[in-house]
Amino acid sequence: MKDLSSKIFKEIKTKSIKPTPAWCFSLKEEAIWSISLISIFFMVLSFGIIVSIIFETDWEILDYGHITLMEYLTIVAPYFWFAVFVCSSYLFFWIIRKTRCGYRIERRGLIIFSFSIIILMAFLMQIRGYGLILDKFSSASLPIYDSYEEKIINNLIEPEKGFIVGRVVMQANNIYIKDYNGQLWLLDTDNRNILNYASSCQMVMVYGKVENNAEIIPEKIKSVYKSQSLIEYHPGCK
Amino acid sequence: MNINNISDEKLIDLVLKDDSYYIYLMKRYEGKLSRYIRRLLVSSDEDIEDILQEVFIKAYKNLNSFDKNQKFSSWIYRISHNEAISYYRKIKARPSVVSFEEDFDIFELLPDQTNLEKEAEAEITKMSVAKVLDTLKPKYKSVLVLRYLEEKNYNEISYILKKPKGTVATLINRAKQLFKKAAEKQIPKNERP
Repeated sequence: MKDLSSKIFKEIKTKSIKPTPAWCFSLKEEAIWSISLISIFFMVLSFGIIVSIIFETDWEILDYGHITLMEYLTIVAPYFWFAVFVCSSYLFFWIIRKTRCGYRIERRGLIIFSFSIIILMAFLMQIRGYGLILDKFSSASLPIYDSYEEKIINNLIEPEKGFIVGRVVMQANNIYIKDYNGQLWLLDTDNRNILNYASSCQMVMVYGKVENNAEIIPEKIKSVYKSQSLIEYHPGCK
Repeated sequence: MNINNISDEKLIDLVLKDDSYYIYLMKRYEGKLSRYIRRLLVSSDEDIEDILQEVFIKAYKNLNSFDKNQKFSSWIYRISHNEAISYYRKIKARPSVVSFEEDFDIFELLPDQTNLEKEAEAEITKMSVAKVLDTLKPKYKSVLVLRYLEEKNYNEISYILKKPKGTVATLINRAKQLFKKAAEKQIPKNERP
């Protein structure tokens, strides 16, 4: 190991090696912080939407017996947002360690701190209704994405079993439900109370008994989303 | 200007103005780093030279990223540690025996080393300690080497290994326990100090 320093110095000179400019390191540090912030933003966003969907999930559908719990969970589970949450969490916990002071952060403290923020923000999103807005927005902007509402419509409508989803249509003193195939279902009821609850064009789920392939005798009418003005209609109520 | 009297940090400022000063910085650390790498991995002089060359070239390229709130020695130890670990992964073989030929520090902690009659016994102990240390996983071996042979404090070890201080403390405790267990297995009772 004779005069190694001189040998290395000669190598540096021969290869014209130069120190990387300071701005490159500053830029790298800023990029790492930006990615950390973006990843935590997506963690909050995805967790908020997951919480909103869990709150919105209507477990009463199971009471009508045409679907099992597992089937229902498979349909309504927000896979897309689970994937976004897992990826952004992994990215966040990985990249935060790459910051200049990241090595000092204790993993347990970081997990507790970040999850406290995420849970708090997610519940704020749920209270303000942003989770559902983002769910619908994602559906409109991403071709592969189905909102909670679309999942219900695409997978659960079974008119032959007395379950339809559609919009309320009022025509000549009759109340119809226009489902997603464009079919009109006459709500066979004398009870006009529904008019107090169901404004025209509102999206509703109707459980009941189908007759003549065009009428439904409702047992229960509900809004698709719990957080929207809920229609709770029972045939007996006045 | 006497180069030997100026701090590492000032020397770096000089290097950034005139690269010929880098040779002084390398000379300061050449011995310390080669000893550290030797303690982590047992390799030939040629291998250690190669690793050191990589370390000094990398350090030179990244000189502007050096955080002046830290010690330069910790920074260059960090680079050396990373290079040594990369080398270890490349060769994919466990290091065989740690060379303790130059290492008297740890044995200063052992009682009554000055007695000439016990020198031979100390030599045996030295080799046995090296063997025991070598049975530990690299992460435990690294912390013991840094703490007890390189005499780095917890902050420095935390910076070198890029681990939180709490984790370093846990690793050192765990490494000490493992070292004790391994020593009990490997060193016969009559060879123990």
